[in-house]
Amino acid sequence: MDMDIFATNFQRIDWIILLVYICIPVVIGVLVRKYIHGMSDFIVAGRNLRLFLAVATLTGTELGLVTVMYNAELGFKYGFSAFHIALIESVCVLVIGLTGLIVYKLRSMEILTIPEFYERRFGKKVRILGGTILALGGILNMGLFLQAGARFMIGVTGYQHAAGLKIFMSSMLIMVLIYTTLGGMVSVVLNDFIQFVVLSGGMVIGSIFIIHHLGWNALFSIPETQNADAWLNPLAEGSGFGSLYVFFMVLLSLSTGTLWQSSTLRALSVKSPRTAKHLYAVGSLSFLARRIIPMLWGIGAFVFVSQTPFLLDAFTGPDPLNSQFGMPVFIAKIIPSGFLGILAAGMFAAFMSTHDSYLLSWSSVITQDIVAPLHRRTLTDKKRLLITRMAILGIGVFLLLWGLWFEAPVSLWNYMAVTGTIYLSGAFAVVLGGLYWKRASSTGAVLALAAGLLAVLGIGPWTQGDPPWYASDKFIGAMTFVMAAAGMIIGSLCFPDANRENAS
Amino acid sequence: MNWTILWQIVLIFTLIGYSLMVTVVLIGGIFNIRDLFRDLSTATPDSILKNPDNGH
Repeated sequence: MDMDIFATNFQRIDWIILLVYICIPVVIGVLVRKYIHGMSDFIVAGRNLRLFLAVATLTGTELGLVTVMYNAELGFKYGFSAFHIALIESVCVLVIGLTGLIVYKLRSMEILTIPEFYERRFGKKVRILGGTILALGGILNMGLFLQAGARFMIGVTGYQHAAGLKIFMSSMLIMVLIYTTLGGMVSVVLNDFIQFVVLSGGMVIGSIFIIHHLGWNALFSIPETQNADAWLNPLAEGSGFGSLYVFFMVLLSLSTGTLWQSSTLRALSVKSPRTAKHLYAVGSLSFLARRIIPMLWGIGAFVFVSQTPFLLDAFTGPDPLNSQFGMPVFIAKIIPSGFLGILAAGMFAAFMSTHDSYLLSWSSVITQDIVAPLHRRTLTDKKRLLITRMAILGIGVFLLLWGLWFEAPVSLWNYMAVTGTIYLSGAFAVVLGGLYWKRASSTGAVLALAAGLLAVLGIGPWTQGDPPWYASDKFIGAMTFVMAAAGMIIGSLCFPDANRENAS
Repeated sequence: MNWTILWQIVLIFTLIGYSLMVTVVLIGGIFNIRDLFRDLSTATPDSILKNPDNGH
């Protein structure tokens, strides 16, 4: 074997496949234009999406390159014990599907965004505060997408240059901004479907390659450098998780499943409240696979690395390579050229479409839920569009700077979890209280939303290494949920709304 | 509890279940797309007539 860490099977043919694949969304956009008579046609078609296309779109939205990267890193660092996160998330989504928790009521109210609910139930001020916290948490949450995407592409293509990360991040950001403008809404459904087929098929076939290459028994044998108990058991000491982490994951999965902007939007756009429940019940399998399969790749990568001394030294030596490189470096060596190109192209397209929808999502929250309500006179559509475009550009610049400067202190997933908590902890308490508790008041809502800001402490440098329990990201994350719930209850009991009718 | 067996079962269930789901969604999705295009090509272009911003 070549002693080069970044040796890869990625050849010229794979670059060609990658470039051709990137052009597909634009070609589809041109081809289907004749079928679209106006925006309403698309929206009507979207609202009447039949089950299989709806499942493909939901999976396409929830399965991005960053999802693959953070789960692979979890597998690489923590082994099979990370599987518990997938199991918890899948069970929580199934519970939401079976009970209709939150989503059934929100769909019945014909709510389309969460800040809209805030205003209906608690008034305009809560909507502006909630929108600001949603935008802050959401933009911070996607802060490392570009960095993780660039690391995947460097690992797979084997591109080595001192400024490699900067070059990939800048060029990927420019492509995302062009894609956001060109892609538009017209071809979204077809592109999501193609992406679902290529990425899901690629992930299943890739897994078979990995299991075949390493062998089933080797995959489940404990690497010499790892503690056997911690590699398998999430509750074992040294696993990096523990019971507090499991508690945090349950709260996070329930709140993400019901209230995360992208998935909730899908559920709230379907035909009926009953269909929303069905979508979650069927989707629970996708939620399991989107985590288990990349985790398997990460575990396979660590098993491979531990069998290859120079790689083991590169990842665990004195100046270790970032663990996010583990999976891409591994698949670049074992997956043959041609298929590697298809896989990289599918991942790259997933990266672009996730970025695309998140950019649009957070920029429209800034316009619709923060700027417009603050504006005294009604904003014209032209002005709204201008503000949205400026917000997209501003977020893009932030992503580039943040991605170049900031490193996730514990792991990419923990960063995602904690930044997501900034919005989710408050939103979960406010929506749960607002829907199921008559005495929930706007003061309680403000306190709960503000408590979410505590989660910012969870990405500080003090969470690195082996911090005391009170400075760990899992404690900060779990406590933020508890504080938000306490804020909602205490605020509502001490400061009830004088006249609920006025507030709503 | 034997964690290895638990994770093996979870992995096999996920790979088989997801492969089946991808196959079903692929086949069903092709029919859905055909129906979607049929709906779109038979739809009356109301939006063109009603949209004042449209120059037609």
